[in-house]
Amino acid sequence: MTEVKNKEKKGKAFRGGDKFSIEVDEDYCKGCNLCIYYCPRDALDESEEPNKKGLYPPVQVEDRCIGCRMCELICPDFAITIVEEDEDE
Amino acid sequence: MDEKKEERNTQEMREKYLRKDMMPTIFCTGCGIGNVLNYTLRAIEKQGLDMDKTVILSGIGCSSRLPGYVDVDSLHTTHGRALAFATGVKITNPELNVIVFTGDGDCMGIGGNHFIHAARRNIDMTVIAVNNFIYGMTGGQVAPTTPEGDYATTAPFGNIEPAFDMSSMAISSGASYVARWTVTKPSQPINSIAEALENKGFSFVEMLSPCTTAYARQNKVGSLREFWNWYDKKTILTEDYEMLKKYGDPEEIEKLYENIQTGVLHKEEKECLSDRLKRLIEEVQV
Amino acid sequence: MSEDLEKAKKVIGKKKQFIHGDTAIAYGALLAGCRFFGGYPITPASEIAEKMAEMLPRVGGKYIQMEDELGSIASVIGSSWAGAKAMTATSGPGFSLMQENIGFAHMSETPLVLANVQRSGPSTGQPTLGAQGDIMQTRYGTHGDIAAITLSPNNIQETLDYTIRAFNLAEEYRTPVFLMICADVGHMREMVEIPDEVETFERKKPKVPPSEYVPFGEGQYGKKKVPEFGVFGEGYHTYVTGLTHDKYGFPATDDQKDHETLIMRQVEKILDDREVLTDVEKRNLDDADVAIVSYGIASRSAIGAMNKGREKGMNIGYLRMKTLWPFPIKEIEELSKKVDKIVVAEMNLGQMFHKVKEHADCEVVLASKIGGEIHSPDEILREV
Repeated sequence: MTEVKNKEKKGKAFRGGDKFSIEVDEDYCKGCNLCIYYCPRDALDESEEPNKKGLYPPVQVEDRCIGCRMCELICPDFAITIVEEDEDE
Repeated sequence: MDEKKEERNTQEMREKYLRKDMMPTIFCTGCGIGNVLNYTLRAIEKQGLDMDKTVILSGIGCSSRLPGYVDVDSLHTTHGRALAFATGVKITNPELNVIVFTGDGDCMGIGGNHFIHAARRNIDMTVIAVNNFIYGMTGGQVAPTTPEGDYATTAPFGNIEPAFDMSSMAISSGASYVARWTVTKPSQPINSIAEALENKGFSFVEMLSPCTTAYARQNKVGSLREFWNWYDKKTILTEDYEMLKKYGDPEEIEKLYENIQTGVLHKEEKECLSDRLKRLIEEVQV
Repeated sequence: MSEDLEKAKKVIGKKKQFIHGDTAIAYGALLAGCRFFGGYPITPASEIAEKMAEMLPRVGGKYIQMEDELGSIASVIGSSWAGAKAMTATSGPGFSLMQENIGFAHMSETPLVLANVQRSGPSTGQPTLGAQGDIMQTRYGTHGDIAAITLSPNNIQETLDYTIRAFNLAEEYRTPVFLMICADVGHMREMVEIPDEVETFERKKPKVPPSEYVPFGEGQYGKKKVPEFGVFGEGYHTYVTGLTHDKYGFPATDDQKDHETLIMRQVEKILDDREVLTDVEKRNLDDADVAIVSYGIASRSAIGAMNKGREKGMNIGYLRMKTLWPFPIKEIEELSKKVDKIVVAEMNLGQMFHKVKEHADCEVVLASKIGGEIHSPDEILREV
């Protein structure tokens, strides 16, 4: 698991819990980082190390994603998906 | 909240709509054309279009590569001529949903003539024109939409020609639905393209989109974030524009003229050509 | 289909009519099942558009006058992919404008018929006078390598019959077919008889489900090199492009072999059937020393020349090429072995002349005429 940069990031640290997981398809991701920039909860950050393409794909920052799916919409490459964990109701 | 649960996530959208063998797209990092595809597919999903009865056409250019990524009957035509091909398709089989992806050079340059006539005829189709102010595919030559003063490979001293306003052209030509949005705010184009698909007539949606290579390297756009931000600073919703013109102070009004208006710029109910042709045939058929 | 034919015959009217070539083309198209015309006015072909505008809606077909010739041919290609038998008609200046999209039709293997009522060129030229100056252009007008099918009738009945043939060939070979007449034939009137029965070749649809359909490869059940045609709206999700593509239609522009495979199949599907497609008319060749080779309206003068020469005791024969492309190589080769000299009579500065010369073993001379007038028989006889 690659380390996340800027752990002490400023911004709303709303606790989204672990309801949503963010999956990044590295075959499609071009490393534009628009998802990181547009995420309203700073739930994404650049990975510490580059992947084999030389890109720094985004990784999930724990406990922050609220499932707004802005990243899914702003990604030009269909590379990021929000998966909602099943709830026990 | 319920609505969101029904929406497909990206993985599901990929499964349903994309030609996996063609992915990933050829678009450059940070290019907005991929977003145009994303928003169009979500609008299609919203409208529940039958993909077996849908045809997507395009001309030549970066945006014209879009049909290749969608699992649907596709016609990747010659430069500027997509609207004429689309006319033939729609008139022949009005049951088909016709969508055209085009670009500013493809539609407003070489395709200008077909554009104004397809709009004039109000043919029932949805045209999504990606406007990145440049001929991107061929390396960054000046386009009919390049802002005056901007740099391009064939305008190395700055563009000395005025630029076309594609949406105005569509309106004056007779299009029944005309809207302009940027790729930077997803919901607006998604909802608008859904409306455009719904409209029975010539729907024109102009998408302002950043070209992060051919255009960007010649004009000082800053970082990718700054370039995407610029689109928000440069545009203003048409309703806000009208309000400020009426109620703003002189300084605000002065600044308005530098802005590009976005939003639904024209909307009317108007008989489309297929319906008119149908009436004619009913009248004269033996 | 016969209900369609009955409608067409009803709209066409009387069985025997005194009509000109342009009208004959429109009639032939309607009888063949053409239900889309996308065109633009141009002398001397405008009458075809006018007749189609009047007749098509009456049989439930679609007529549209596009904004220019580029739009016309584009709309025809789109219509063909949407399921209709489609055509356009034009003359020299329009034909030149259409070349890019004609190439697209070849590359995408789209059936369509293009009628060219040739007029004297180049450029605006003599708009109301005939010529045969566009023959090479149907074969070599578009950039790149293609094979064309080009028909050349010389009388009005044949014009009507050949229009039907053009539509059938277009569907059979999944290719654009060119019907070449000239202004003289376009505007000349003769008696024609509307046929009672018309044999049409219907589009070969795929018989397999979409996941198994190969839109640009070998035919899965029909002619070997002609793929079945899965039109839009039937679930095939075909990707059609003018880029070099693989057999599934997807761009494959980097590999030399991919391009060669595609183009060779497209060219061979027509050229392999050269002899099947060849159609010629021969007269008086058994004892001929000289043969006049001609086509279109010039061939009618050639007959006059042959008859005049025969009266003077010259042994002249006549061969009329009714299919211009694929070029009737075998016919010309055999002819050249029988005669000492071939005179090619055409209304241009030499187009088919070069092809004849390429394949003939004997002396070949050109009887050329430009300026909008057909040769007089004497002008051809002079070269004999």
